[in-house]
Amino acid sequence: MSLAWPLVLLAAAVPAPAYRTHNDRLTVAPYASPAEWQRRAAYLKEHILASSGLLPMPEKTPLRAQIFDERKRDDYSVAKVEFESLPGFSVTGNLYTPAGRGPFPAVLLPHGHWTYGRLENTEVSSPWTGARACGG
Amino acid sequence: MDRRESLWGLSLAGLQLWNALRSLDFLQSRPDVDGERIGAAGATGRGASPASNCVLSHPAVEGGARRLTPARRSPTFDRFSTLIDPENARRHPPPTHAIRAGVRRFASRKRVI
Repeated sequence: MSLAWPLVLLAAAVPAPAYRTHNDRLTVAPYASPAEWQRRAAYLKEHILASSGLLPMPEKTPLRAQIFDERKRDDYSVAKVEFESLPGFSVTGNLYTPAGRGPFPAVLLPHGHWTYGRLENTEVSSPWTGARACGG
Repeated sequence: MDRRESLWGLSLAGLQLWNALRSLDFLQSRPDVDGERIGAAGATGRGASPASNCVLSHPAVEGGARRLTPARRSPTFDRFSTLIDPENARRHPPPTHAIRAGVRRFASRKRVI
């Protein structure tokens, strides 16, 4: 008890912080020029890579991509894809290709932690939602 | 990186980012993909984490990416942005049954915090 009293006195002496409330507005500071944003972007990029342990990046090893089990639909086809992002480490995904002649623009959908992973079929997570958002 | 990740030599965030970057390499290697027009979209956290990471970090995407559009506003994001942004709350009011349920829950709680 006696040890705690200095802490209580200290807490009383320190002014209370200005609390944030639900009514606070957050305005993102605009950048004055493209050059200013480029500087900021380079800073962010460097720090994202550094904090992810990707500075320097690992060597880009052969992908050894395999595309298999393709299913054709009327205006698109779906195939399964497996490639090695690191030697012996597989990354899997589905490759949706529109019918017709390419080359087509492409959209990468890192699908996140849904219950069914990349097979989650809801409005938020479906590949078609992503394709529409990108103007496809 | 924590201790276990440093033994692996790669953090989990780094592994996810690296997988996304190699996925872009895979897309670029395809003859039926226009390497100049590759985008990324995601829903979690308004598409912030993986999608913006690869846009930030892959030269092919960086050159062409003018705008990063979230696939859709996620329910979680809506909930939080409704809390922090009154204008958003006006435009997207929470459904009344959710408000009533919340009030009932609050009124019937046993313990006062």
